[in-house]
Amino acid sequence: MRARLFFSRDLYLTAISWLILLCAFASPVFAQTSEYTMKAIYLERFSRFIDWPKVADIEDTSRPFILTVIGENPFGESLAAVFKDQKILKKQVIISYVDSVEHIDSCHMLFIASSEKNNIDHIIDRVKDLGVLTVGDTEGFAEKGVLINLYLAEGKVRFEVNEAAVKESEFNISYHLMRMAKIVNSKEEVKK
Amino acid sequence: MRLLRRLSIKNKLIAILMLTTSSIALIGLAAMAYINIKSFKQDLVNSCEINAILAADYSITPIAFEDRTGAEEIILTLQKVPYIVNVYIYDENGNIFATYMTNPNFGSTDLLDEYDRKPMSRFVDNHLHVVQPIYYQDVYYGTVYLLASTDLLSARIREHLILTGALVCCLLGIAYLLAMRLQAVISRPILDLATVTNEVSRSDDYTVRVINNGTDEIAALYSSFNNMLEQIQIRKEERDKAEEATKRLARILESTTDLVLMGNPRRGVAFANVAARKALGWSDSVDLDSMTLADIHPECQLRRITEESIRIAMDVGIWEGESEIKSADGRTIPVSQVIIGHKSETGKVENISTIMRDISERIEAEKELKLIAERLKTSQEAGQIGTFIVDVPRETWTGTEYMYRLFGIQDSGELTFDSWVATIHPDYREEMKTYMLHDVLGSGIPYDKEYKIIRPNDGAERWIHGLGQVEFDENGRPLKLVGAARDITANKQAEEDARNARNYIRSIINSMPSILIGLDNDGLVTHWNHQAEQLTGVSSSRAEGRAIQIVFPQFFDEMPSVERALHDLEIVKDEKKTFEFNGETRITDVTIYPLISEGMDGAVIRIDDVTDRERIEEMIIQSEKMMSVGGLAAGMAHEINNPLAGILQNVRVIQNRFSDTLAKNAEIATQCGTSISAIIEYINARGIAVMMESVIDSGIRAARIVENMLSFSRKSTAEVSTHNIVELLDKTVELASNDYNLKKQYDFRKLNLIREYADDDIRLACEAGKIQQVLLNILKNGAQAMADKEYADGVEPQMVLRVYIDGSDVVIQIEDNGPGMDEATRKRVFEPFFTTKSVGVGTGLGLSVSYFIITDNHGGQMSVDAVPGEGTTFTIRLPREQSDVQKVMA
Repeated sequence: MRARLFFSRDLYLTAISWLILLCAFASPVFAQTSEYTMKAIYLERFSRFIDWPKVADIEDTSRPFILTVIGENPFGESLAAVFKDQKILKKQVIISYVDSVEHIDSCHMLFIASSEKNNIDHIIDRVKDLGVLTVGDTEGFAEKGVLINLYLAEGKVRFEVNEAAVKESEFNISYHLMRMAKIVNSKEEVKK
Repeated sequence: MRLLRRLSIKNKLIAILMLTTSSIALIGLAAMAYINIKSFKQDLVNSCEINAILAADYSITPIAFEDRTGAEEIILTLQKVPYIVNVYIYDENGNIFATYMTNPNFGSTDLLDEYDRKPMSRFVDNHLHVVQPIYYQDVYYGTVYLLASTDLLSARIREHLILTGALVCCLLGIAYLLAMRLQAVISRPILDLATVTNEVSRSDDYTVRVINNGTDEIAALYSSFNNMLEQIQIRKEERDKAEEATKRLARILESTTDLVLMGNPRRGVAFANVAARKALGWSDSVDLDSMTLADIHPECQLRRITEESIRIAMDVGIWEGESEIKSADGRTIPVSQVIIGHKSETGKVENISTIMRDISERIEAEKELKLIAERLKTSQEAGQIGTFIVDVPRETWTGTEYMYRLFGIQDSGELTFDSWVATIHPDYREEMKTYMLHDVLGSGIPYDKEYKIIRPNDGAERWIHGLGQVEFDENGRPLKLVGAARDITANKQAEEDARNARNYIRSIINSMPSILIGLDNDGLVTHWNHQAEQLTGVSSSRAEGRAIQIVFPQFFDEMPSVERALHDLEIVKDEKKTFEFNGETRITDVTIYPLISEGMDGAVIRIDDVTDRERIEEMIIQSEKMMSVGGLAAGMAHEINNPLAGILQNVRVIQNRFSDTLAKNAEIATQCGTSISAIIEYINARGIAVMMESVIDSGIRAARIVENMLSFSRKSTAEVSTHNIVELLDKTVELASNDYNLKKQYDFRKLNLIREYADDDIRLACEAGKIQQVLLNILKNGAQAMADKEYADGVEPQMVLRVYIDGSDVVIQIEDNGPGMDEATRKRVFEPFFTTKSVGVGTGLGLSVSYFIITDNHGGQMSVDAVPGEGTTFTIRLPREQSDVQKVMA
């Protein structure tokens, strides 16, 4: 029990530092202004409720967590700001921005910008089975096979999960997260 | 308690039962109520805690993703739980995230003050506070705070207590009813017992009994009560009997002939029975109180009675002995007396009583008996006889004093059967026990046995002769054994000495190498010693008591000598008598001694075997004779040798000088005026040349004889080596077979040769050539002799060759069935120049040379046995150990 407390102290510290950050300048942002800061924070939150497939080798904390953004970066400087100190799953976060699917080396999480609307099938097909969590914030992306798709509802950031795509992949998403998410089913489209 | 004591048994029992039941019911139900209330509370706590845990779990993601609506929806579901009043969800910073309140005034979230992110639950006033932290994968997200009302719980407890109270009342009612009915089980028998007790004391009848049909404590009380009644009844009867007995005793005392007196030695007599008064001459009207011991016992006894007898009786309780009393007519009467001291309750002896009996007659009889016993003892001492009586059923025995002395037993009196057995010598013990128990006591055979004992007092071994007779009861069981025992050690010793002497003499006779035969006057055998048994093959038991001619038929010829010895009482000696024993002819000297000691008529025959002695004597004679003859011949030969050499030398020179091959012969012949050829012609014409050849031949023959004769005394240089004598003999036989052509008179090959060799390989150190010469000589001689004999039909000439080992010697025997020789020839056969052959056939030296080879050169022996007309046997003995030969050679 004691060991467990020690283990989790690390998490408390990060959480507290993160809260201080929020309190400092994010509280007005929280509501309206910085939608993308919120989304960046959500990217980390998702990781808490998701088990990566074995291929991703997520357990090894000595190696960084690679977050790739494909297409036109909608985050601006938010990503860099949020993950300057924030780790994902105890791993240092490295953010890479690419414009083409061919440039993706290997990553744990792939944010697909809406600019890639036309290439979405190709991208998904490309990263399938590589242990990459695909995230988007464009309407219809979930139906296309993106695992988690962010959207706004009543001024708040919400998300939808393509359950079928998750089942097909080797990702395991906690029921806690699933309960919060809007479930999208796009079997036929995925098949296509 | 005091209150209880005053109640009747019935009410006591009821009260006790009621008290017990009610206290148990109260304590039990109170405990139950306490446990139940505690468990109700715990149920409430558990239920709230579970709800809090569920709410916390559901709140994780709403907090993580800022979904207040979602969180509120979750806690709204808790509405369905009636006792949950307010629910609060706090985020990780402690700010309220979502709430659900049915009664905002209900309680407060006080516990947050001491909250440290661990689950808590506590009753405060009428509220139950449950605090549950929200964790997901060790990350703290916030807190669920739950407030529950205890109203429902209180209602439930109240209901429970009312039910318990009703139950207690019900139980007490049932207990009272049961106690009322069951108390009778105990109280009734007690009342019954009281009734019977009253009955007994009223009627004084102890035969009444209470009827008992239970097994409990009251039943035990009943039987004790019954026992008590029985005891009282028995004592009553005993008391009646004792009174009766006292009366009877008084009558006996008055009618007995024994004298009975009671009283106090200091105060006088208190009671004297009729017999006592009569014996002491006291009238009925005499004043007993004034009578003292002096009126009872004579003066001489008084002191002993007062100082010894009465004192013992007072100390120990009883004294027994003999004393005297004064009779009415002034005589003293001997009495046996018993004085008894009676102890009072204080333990002090105050009264004594005495019983006396007139024993005048017994004393007389004892005196008589003593006299008889004295006489018996004296006679036993004189006759050295002990007598005894065995009490068979009791297994004990008694004996006279001499008997005990005989057996070395210290204490006299009654002894056990085993003590007698113990004295018996271990060698005889079992036999005697069997004899005594089985033969004497079992079968009634008169006891008559000699046996040995070891006297326990001095350890001496003695021989005892026991005699006796068993007496039986009417059923045939042995009652007692009466008998006598006598010490017969001296007789036994004498017997044994005689036997030893006899055995000693017998063994002397038996160990004699001669045959010793004892004869009585009628010629019947009385002694037949071991040697006689051995040689005749007749055992002494068979021979003794029979006529000598029957058991020893060969002796028949000697009977006249026996008769002569018996008649003339002279020692008769016959030397060199031959007897055949075990198929062997032996030469013996027979001596017959007449017995001339008194009462022992008869004769003793002694037969000494002198065969070996005779043989040795003969050999010594032979050897000496041969030595002297050999010496003589050798000396002679030596002397003849030189002139003979001269003769031969000169004859050869003469021959030479008549030869025409030498130039000098021709020259000298010419000088002499003749020619050598003329001279040769002359000597040839006159036969001189032939004569000279003849001289040389004879000379050479003489030289050979001389050579042989010289060998008698010459110790040749030994060429001794080990040879197989069997092989040597066979080779020699072969040599002899090849020799037949030369002589023609015999044909060795026609002989039937029988070989009886003990072994095919008998090794012997010898000079092979010389031994072969000896063997060849014997074989040839034998063959020649056999050629002269005319055999009957079916009989073939044969020769038996034997080789065997006899002790340290090897024996070679050559036996033929030729003509044999007479004794005179046999004795001279080894002498030089002794020959039976016609002149010119042999030199007469062959066997002499052989003899010397064997005896001188090899240290052996050579002998010949012959039976005329039947055959000859040559025997050669050679020592196997060559050291003997070496010695001779050296």
